[in-house]
Amino acid sequence: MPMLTENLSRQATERGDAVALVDGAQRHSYADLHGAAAAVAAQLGAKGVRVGDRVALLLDNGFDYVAALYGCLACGAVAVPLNTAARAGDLGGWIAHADARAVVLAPGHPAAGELLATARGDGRLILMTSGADVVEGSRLCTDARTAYGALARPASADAPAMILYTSGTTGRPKGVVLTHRNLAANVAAIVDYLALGPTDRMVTVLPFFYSFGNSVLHTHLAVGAMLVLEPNLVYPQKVLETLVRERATGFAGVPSTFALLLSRARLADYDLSALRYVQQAGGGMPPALIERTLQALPASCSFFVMYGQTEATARISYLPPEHLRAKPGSVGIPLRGVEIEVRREDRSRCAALEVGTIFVRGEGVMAGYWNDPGLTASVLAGGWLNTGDSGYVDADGYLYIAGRRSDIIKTGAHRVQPQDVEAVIAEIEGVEEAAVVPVDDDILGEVVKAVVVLRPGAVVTDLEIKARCRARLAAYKIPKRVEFASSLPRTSTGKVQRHLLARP
Amino acid sequence: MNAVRHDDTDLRAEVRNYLRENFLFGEEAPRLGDEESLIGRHVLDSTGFLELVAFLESRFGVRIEDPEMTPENLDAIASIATLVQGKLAGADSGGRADAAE
Repeated sequence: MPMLTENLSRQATERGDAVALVDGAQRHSYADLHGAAAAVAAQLGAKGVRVGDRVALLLDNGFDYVAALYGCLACGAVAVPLNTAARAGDLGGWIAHADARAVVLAPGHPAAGELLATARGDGRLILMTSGADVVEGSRLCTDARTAYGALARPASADAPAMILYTSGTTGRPKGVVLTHRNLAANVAAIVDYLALGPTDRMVTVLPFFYSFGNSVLHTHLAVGAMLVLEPNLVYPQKVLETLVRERATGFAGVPSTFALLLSRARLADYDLSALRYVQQAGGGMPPALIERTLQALPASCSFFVMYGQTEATARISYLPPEHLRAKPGSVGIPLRGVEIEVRREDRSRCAALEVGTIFVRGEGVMAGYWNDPGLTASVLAGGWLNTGDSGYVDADGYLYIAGRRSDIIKTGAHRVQPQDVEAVIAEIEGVEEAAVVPVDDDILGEVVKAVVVLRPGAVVTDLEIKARCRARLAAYKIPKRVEFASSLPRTSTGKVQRHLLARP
Repeated sequence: MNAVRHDDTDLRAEVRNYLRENFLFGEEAPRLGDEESLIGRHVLDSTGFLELVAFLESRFGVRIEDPEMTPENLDAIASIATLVQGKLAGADSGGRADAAE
């Protein structure tokens, strides 16, 4: 099975002049990308990064991000892409938790100053900056002029390739460790069912530091397709104009991506006739929204509903588009090489239509959580991953998701651990305790709500609570709504009954 | 016609106030320049923009058409004020034209 670096080397050899990435006005060929990745690998090695060292990436989607990521893979380093929307506290926490040897960052990032100061004080942390030479010799060189050979195949396919953090650092950081084999296997299976090829042109708004965006990136580079980067969905018309201009064959989104597109644009006004496949993952999409999306897309376009989890590299199942209307609400059948079992609490297998916990096994299942054997053992046993999601399989073998995974709030493309927000609110003078829960939202699926209990006599406004959250947390974690209560509902054992607070 | 008049300074102040109350929560508004990018400063994201547009439409009684959702019109306090002012002026002259018929 070819590893990601081998995929890129092959494409650079077979179609070096073909466009790999469109990043703003720049069009980068496979040869350029391959050369840049090789240059980064050489630079990392020269600076002292060794096989197995962690390299944190704090870069938005762009040519430098992709070159840095493949450069890490090629020199045997473990890439740790960080959420660029996060605040300095979380970023520093992840860098420390991963014990990163190097950080590659964009000097314009709001947390750059703080991270630069930390790196200078640390003395051991190697700093590389994209676009500018902030510290002497730090500039990441991605405009490769030297001819490099093929990117190296990793010494072991089972060595860690990436760590993806799925929670903040106020609680227990969860760093999902993906091996080269995990990535290669999941990419191969996705390429297979989407029938991706070198003539495909994918427009993506998904951040690469999340699992979905990460899979979109690798699957398209693996086949020599073209990826067109759109920075965000703030201006839906611009995304649609890009789809038209590039004659895009593919598009990918989470449910809120489609809700946003449909809310502010008439898709019928745009020539989307080249669109061949649209992928949806990142949480359940209401069947009514799927139907509206289908109505707005050309009839020739296939709509793929998919289910996955970072812990399974990305993808677990997909619904073949021809069954979309026959199996509404289903997330489909397992990918090639993936097994799914729905189990009862005693671990026995559920019957058809019986709701239980979803377990998966296959080459995409992560190696574990970084530096946390206890947490790893709580979800991985005998090669099976406990997804924490509940669901059932129908008589035809189609999977349906029936319940939410723990307390995680799914807002747009983001995941919010309530504890991360609760910890920040609890630090405010006058706050007794707080519970953070999801409430339904037409566009984002869910948004964050905080229920706050104040100490007797204390005066704290909702604005003060939001301000503190803004200072400490990524914008998507700031509660949209703050309510005050005299106490939080609890079970007899003292556990907060979040479901009672989650009502709108 | 008794339309409420808004000069550019009023409009900018009102937009700034809305952003402070709803996205900055009182903290950073004085440091946000009129010409600064709201995206670049991480003040708004995609749904934040929808909320801003809804606010402008309801507060000023204007309609912002989908093709007008561009960075040139909406990515800074100054450009938002210009957009809204242009629409209010257009509505005024439209009203006079109607009255003349």
